[in-house]
Amino acid sequence: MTRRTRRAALALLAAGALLASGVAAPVADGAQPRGRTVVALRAGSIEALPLLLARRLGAEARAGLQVELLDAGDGNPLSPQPEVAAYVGTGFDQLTLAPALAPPVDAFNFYRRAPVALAVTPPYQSTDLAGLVVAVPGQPSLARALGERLLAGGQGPRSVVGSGWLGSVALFSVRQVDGVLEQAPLPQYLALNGGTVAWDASDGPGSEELAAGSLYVAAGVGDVRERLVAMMRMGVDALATRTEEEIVELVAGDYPAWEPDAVQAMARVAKRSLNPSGRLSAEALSRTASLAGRTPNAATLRQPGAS
Amino acid sequence: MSVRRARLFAAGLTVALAAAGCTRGQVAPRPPLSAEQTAISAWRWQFQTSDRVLTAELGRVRQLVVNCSAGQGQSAALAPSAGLAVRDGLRVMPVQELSGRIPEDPGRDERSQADRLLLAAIQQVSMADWQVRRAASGAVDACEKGRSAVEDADRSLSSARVAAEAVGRAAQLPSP
Repeated sequence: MTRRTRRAALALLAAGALLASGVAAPVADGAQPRGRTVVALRAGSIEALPLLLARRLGAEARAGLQVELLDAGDGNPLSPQPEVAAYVGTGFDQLTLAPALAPPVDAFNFYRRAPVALAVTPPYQSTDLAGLVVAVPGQPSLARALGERLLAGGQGPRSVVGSGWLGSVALFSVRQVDGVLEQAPLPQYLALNGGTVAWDASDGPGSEELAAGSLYVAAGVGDVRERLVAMMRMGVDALATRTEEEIVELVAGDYPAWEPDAVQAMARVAKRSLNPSGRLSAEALSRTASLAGRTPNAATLRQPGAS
Repeated sequence: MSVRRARLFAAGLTVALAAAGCTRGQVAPRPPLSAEQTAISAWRWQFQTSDRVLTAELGRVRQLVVNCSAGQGQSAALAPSAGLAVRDGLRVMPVQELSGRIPEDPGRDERSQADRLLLAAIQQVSMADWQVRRAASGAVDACEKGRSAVEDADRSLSSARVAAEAVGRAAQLPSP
């Protein structure tokens, strides 16, 4: 055997060994993420915080996913996207969008109740706005309903503070309010000095569908769901274990229209609102699966360390 | 000055002004702006106003950072920022601009870039302000982070200006 043929044989052997060890093994069909793997909906809201944390901590790459964030509020109705293996929702709006999409939406909800209601805690006060009746749309999709409710109640024009500026702009444009405090600097404006919350958004349409502290996993393609759950779990763990300040420094850039104070208050609210265990629970997933009429994959539901 | 020299001076001035297109009745009329140019011109005016206000706010925060001293006192609640209203006001324009554009809006991408950079600069200023207030409440490394955020804001604002100028040039708007 010449030196050249010996080298070629060695190269073949090495390649075979790599394949056998799985390092260079081709990924099976269905497990290979194609193009954009996951599209996450409603970026920018409090509900997306665990996802944003997970991304900032590198969980996306670790899970082998490519995530694209879309804001799919009323102002941006979601249309089916090409080459998407799974959709992820982090709020209840996504459940209502699910039937229109294929594959269906994977929706996560991390909080015990609608976060907006819990956000009404005044870490800051703004005396120049004292005495106003403040409506809290909470979600852009609820803003119009809120405006109608205010009008129906004969309360006249009010200032509106929203966690969704799209909804606030919509209200302003149809002249249902006389002023809009734009882009929800929640902690500064939500609980004003002497202000009144006119409507608790947690009783808004859609919220009754939510089971408290639940994780909704409805569908997925190939092994995307398992990796997705792993990624989201990392975000939830980070939310539970990181300090408010660390969270601000991690995700402040994801909320360019928010003051860091607002992001910090949101982090505080999110941490308080998180499922008490701070983790995703198999029991919640089972509830979700029955709600969605689908069978969950038990392997993906087990907690780390659980038998 | 003699009458003759005065007349000569006046004649020379008239010729010079005419050459510069400044004399009354001889100014080449500017072509009317198209609808697109009018919209971009309005946007540019808003951008420049935002730029001036943000520059002043950045100067205020820069001074806070210069005087920042960390680690004094016990951890305490953040004091409200004096710049909240200014920064929230500044955010309205780029946020509305970014949301209101339709895909076929001419110059949309270029303006979006300037708006995003402006928004980023506002965010970085607010971050610097937040860090300075954290320092005052006891965070030891907050001053350095505040300094870094001010530098980021400088860079973003400069880039936003460059992007805004490119928008004006692309629309063939006269210089402001």
